[in-house]
Amino acid sequence: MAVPTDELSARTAEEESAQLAEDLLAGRPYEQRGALRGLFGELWQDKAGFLGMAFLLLVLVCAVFAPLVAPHSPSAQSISERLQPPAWSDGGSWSHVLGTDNLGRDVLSRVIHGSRISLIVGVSVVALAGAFGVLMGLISGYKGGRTDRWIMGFVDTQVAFPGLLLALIILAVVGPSMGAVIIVLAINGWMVYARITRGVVLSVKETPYVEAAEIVGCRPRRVVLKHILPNLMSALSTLAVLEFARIILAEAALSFLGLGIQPPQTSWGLDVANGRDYIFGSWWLVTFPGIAIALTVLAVNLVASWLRVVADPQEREKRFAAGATAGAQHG
Amino acid sequence: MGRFVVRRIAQGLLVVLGVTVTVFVVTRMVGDPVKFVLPLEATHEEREARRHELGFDRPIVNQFGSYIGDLAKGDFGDSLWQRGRSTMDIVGDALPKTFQLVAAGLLLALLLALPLGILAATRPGRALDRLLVTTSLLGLSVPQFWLGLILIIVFGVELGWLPTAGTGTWKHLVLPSVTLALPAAGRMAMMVRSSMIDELNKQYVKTAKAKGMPSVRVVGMHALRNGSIPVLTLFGWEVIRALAGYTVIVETVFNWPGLGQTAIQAIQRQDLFLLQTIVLVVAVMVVVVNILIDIAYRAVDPRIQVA
Amino acid sequence: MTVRTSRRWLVVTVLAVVLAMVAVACGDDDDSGGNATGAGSSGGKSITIALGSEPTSLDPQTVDDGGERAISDNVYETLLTRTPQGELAPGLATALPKQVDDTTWEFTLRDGVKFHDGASFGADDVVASVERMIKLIKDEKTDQSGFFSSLTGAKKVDDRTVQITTDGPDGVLPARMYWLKIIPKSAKDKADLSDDPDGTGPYKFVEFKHGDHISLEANGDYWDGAPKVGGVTYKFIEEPGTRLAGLLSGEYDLITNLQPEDVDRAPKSAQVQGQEHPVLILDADDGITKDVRVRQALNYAVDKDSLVKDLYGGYAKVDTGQLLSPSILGYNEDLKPYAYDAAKAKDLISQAGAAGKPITIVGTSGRWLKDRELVEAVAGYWKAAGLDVKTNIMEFSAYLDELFNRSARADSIYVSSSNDILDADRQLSTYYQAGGVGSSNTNKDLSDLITQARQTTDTDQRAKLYNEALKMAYDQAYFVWLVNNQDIYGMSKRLTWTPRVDAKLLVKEMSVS
Repeated sequence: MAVPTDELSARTAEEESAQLAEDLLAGRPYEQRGALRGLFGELWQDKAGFLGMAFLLLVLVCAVFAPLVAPHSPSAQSISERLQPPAWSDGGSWSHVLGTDNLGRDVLSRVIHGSRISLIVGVSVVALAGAFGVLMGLISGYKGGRTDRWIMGFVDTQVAFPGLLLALIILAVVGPSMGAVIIVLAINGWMVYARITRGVVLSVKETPYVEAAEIVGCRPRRVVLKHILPNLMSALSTLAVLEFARIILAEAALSFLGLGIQPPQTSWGLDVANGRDYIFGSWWLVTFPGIAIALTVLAVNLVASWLRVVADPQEREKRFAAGATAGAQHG
Repeated sequence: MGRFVVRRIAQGLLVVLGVTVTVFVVTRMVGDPVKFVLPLEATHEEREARRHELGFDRPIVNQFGSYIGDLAKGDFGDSLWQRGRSTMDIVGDALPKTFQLVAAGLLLALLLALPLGILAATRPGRALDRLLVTTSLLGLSVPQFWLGLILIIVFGVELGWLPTAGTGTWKHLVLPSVTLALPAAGRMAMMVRSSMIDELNKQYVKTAKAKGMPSVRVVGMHALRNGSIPVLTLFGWEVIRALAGYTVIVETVFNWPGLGQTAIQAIQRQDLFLLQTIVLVVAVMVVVVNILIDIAYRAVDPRIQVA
Repeated sequence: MTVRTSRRWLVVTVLAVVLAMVAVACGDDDDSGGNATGAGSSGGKSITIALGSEPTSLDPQTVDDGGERAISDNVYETLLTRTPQGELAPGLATALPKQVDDTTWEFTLRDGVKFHDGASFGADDVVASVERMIKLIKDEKTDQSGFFSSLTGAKKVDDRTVQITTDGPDGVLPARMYWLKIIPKSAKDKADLSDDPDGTGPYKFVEFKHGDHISLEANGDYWDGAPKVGGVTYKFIEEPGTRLAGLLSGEYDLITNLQPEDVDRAPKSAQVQGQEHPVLILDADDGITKDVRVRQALNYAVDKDSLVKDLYGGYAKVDTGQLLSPSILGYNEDLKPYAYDAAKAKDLISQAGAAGKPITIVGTSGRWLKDRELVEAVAGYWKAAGLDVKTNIMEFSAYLDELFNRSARADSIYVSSSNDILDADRQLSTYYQAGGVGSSNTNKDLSDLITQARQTTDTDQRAKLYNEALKMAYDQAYFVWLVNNQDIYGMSKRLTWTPRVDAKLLVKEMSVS
């Protein structure tokens, strides 16, 4: 997982000179826009990554505008209309495109509203675990010495904990809720950020320009923010996206086991668990929320593998050297 | 090497201690473990009496002291849920079932991942490669519990080929191990592919090819051997992960009486004593496997420093 | 160490871990023939039954656990039994007991009965069973104290006659003797009978593979003739869907708690109006539900007929407002269900000034048939009646905290009340009587009536007292009575069986072709 040192110093040197350029010329916004356009160009090149990104945007729109997008309220029940099949099956109707669940609630609307929980939990956990992990990694790597040993010792110990089991126990004890799920998953997931951050900090710290900055008298905080953090971005962005996918699955699994999101909130994992009693007669209860999870996670993973190629020149080189026609065309 | 092992073991003990204390404290916060032990109709006095009998009314430090003391004597405590059975007996019954599942599932994953990853690596960027990569990604994106249910519907109910739950014959093992294998196979296939591409780009492979060595031999003899380290590392990680309780979902879906299902049942029934033993055993297993792999890893490359 | 040999190290280590696991796993293979075991000594065919939960013990006197009962009911017997319709009938006793005085009941025992180990059954065994139970209660080693706390002793009159005494007049005693399993006298001082069950029943214990199965074989020497089914294997499957899947694939012959939706899917099914009465307990002392008009409104607001028809697919009856099934002594014929009248509900609520006010409804998920769905459905109806309903579906442990919380009762708590011993006292003392673990009222008159009924041994008089108590609670609307759902069983084509109202799975009443 460690990022090669020479790679980084090269890129940072580039940035340094860019900053120099900023002082001299005022042409940077244009450059930035160019870079941005290049990014989207590459995304377009990577068809799978593009599809993934497009799907994620769709999910995001669904989540934000759920009450507008969903044809019904996710909690509007009608016992007499329960377990109606999807519209295209015998007995289905277009008023409930994906059918109704065991209380006559609209499955499509529930899937749409369920996206909210997945995204909220995913983003919150990544933000919390990421912020804390990066902070710990920065302190550990920058301070070194005893602090470093303590923090990394703690990380190593916690990494060896049976995390899922402990998460289940803690959730059972404190009582499952969305907040509890977020906190438990964040507690379980911050270590990887700390490790990577520390690795990058250690490798960057030794580079001449950071040493130079320190000699010149830059305060540690400035060194960290201006010189070290930017180097982290490529490694962290891929990691965050991958973690996001993992968290969505984890939330769904916890909710499926009954120790995650609790009704009357809606979550995809919860709905699959709910439909489990009906898998024989009413396959649509389990199927659609499950597909929603799978597609969302797949989309996130596709974006992550595109990002890895973009962010990691070594990966990119691998593809070119291997004779692929287009650099990012790997799916 | 000796000092390294000692340090690793010391660190392992720290992990086990940390896990034990965490679980002990967290479960004692439950408030009333007794409510599960007694039927709904039990009176307040009956509950108090049972709480006293089980020692839950003592200060937590004392409770922990006697727990450690009992452990030292080899007494893991009796289950609250399965009245009168030693918790170690219960874990001992469940453990082989989990091993069976993990062994079958992960070997299957390896058998799937190796050929697919190699195949993809030999033609990177081509249609086959892209298909395999996307399939692998799909494999690790599908939620396991859902995959299991879908397999039950298709192979258990619609086709009627395989039993849907429980243990017994080898047939019972098929669906759970496939469910366990697919996401792991996805991860491993990606890793095989990636490390094979690395190897195939190296100078010695190009030289061998230039010298006219058949490509099967190049791939099979040289690249595969050298590319296997990261794959084996990942495999070791999968083993640890599975042993650390990640089989709980598959075991729940297929009613597989392994450690994961036992853990869920212990949680549902608030069997603190059983939970403690499960977590202790899991922590020890994880630590031991971790140390073994670390030692092997270090043996591979003495430059690797222990964090 | 060269790089090449050390690489082998890594391979060897990882493979060694896996192989070690395979080895342990394979060492466990001896139980692979779960279905093959239990082939009956009487030559009849064996069947497989899927239960919802694994017994936590096989000691018939210590646990209160449906999984244990399903097994023990076939291995052990009781002095009295019930007909499939629920009437008390002779069992190991030849007739219903004679009452000697207020606190003494005399049983005459059956001749020619043997335990599975060959010992003859007699008065000593009954005395041992009663005395062991009393000791277990005293030592707080049993969960069955609620059933037997009134017992004070048993006396052998002669080898075929036993007198059982209670601490006061106890009208429930005959029903209790339908619950007390008779163990051999040799087991009297054993702390735990789980490993070696030995009864007089039609099936003998063969083995218990924890986490996998229990098997029994037919007792060829059974006093009432050898049973038709030669052997039984029990499997434990928590999920209703998984149980059905196994039934469809032919693994099981009988599954419990078939979902109403799946009845048409099962090869065969049978149902009986059982003892399950899902109900909402209303807090009569505090909060929004303190007002009797609100409590009545909550009853009127729920469309019970729709619940029966749509949620239970017709496999249920509307509860007549008393939590008891008609077969139970004390059932009040005159009570009629609160009708569904949404307008009246709204009216009562606004009269009480409760419109738009919050009300909490506490439930749990996965414990009882349709528990969560029922709570969500009721919440929907209450919302429609103009209340701000806070649905709180809790994980079971948190749910139990709410149910048992005596200091602050939730506005309404869902519970599915069952009646194991088919006696009104069970449900009334738990949910109706003030101070009962699930009760939310402090009505002293009601409480007195229930105590009085328990101490009455004359059955007509008892029935009258219960009638009165039920009417009082009905008028006060202490509950929202919902339905009495049927117990539904899924069966394989080859199995023939009629389910019992007491939900006992007596294999001797089954036959297989």
